[in-house]
Amino acid sequence: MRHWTELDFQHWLYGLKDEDSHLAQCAECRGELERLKGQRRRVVAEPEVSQDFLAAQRRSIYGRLEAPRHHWHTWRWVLSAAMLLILAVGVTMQLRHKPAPAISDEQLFSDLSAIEQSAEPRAIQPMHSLFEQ
Amino acid sequence: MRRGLVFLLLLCAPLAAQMPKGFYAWWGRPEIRKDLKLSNEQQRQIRATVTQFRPHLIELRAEVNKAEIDLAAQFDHDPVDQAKADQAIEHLIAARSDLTRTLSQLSLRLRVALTEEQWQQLQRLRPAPGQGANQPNEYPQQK
Repeated sequence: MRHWTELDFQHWLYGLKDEDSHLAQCAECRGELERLKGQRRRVVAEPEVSQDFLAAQRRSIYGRLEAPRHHWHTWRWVLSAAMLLILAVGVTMQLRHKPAPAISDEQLFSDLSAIEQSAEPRAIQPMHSLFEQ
Repeated sequence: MRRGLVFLLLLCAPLAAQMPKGFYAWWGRPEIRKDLKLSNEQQRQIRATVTQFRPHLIELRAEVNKAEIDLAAQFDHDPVDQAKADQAIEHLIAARSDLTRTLSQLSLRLRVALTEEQWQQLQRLRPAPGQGANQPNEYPQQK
């Protein structure tokens, strides 16, 4: 007498194997088969949902569908405007605080020295030609 | 009165000699730092002072350049608007004056960070007239 193997039970579950005469003789294998049958019944059974629950759910859905959407529309525009405003302020502040291009000490103080050493404004330099010769 | 003026001029002469003419970023040159034997603390103090003055100096440089451009525009204007031109001249004078003041204050702060000997040595390294601020007396132009 050969007991059903795990593979045999799996084949039976998937409909690949029929119940045979061994099950009529072997209480152990028959017990295992009954256990599997019970487990399968529980898995495929429809969940128990009361009619009241379903009715309440339907009423809730219809209620939301029929509620005026005007409220959400208003807030959508307000939120969009606020986001745009925040974005604009952020970009403006970023541009305002954009660091000036770096300049080396050498270049900066060379420029400053040149300004300091020039005795007169650049605008009057063309006048020099009037006094030359 | 005249004697007083002469005395005042004599008093101002050394000050004028030490004004930041030929001002250059000597603290950024390793050979000068070495020659002056600047301590780490002195270097830190000098760097902090320059860093503190830099933003204002950059603003003043822009201010002077803007005032120069404004004045040039008044010179090019036809007919010349005397009042606006005078205003541009005054603005340029004020900007240059502000620059001179700030550079002098910076120079003074840097001088205070140096010893007498270092100050004298730095004076010797000052660029000769016409040599340009980028090239002190004893050192070649940095690349």
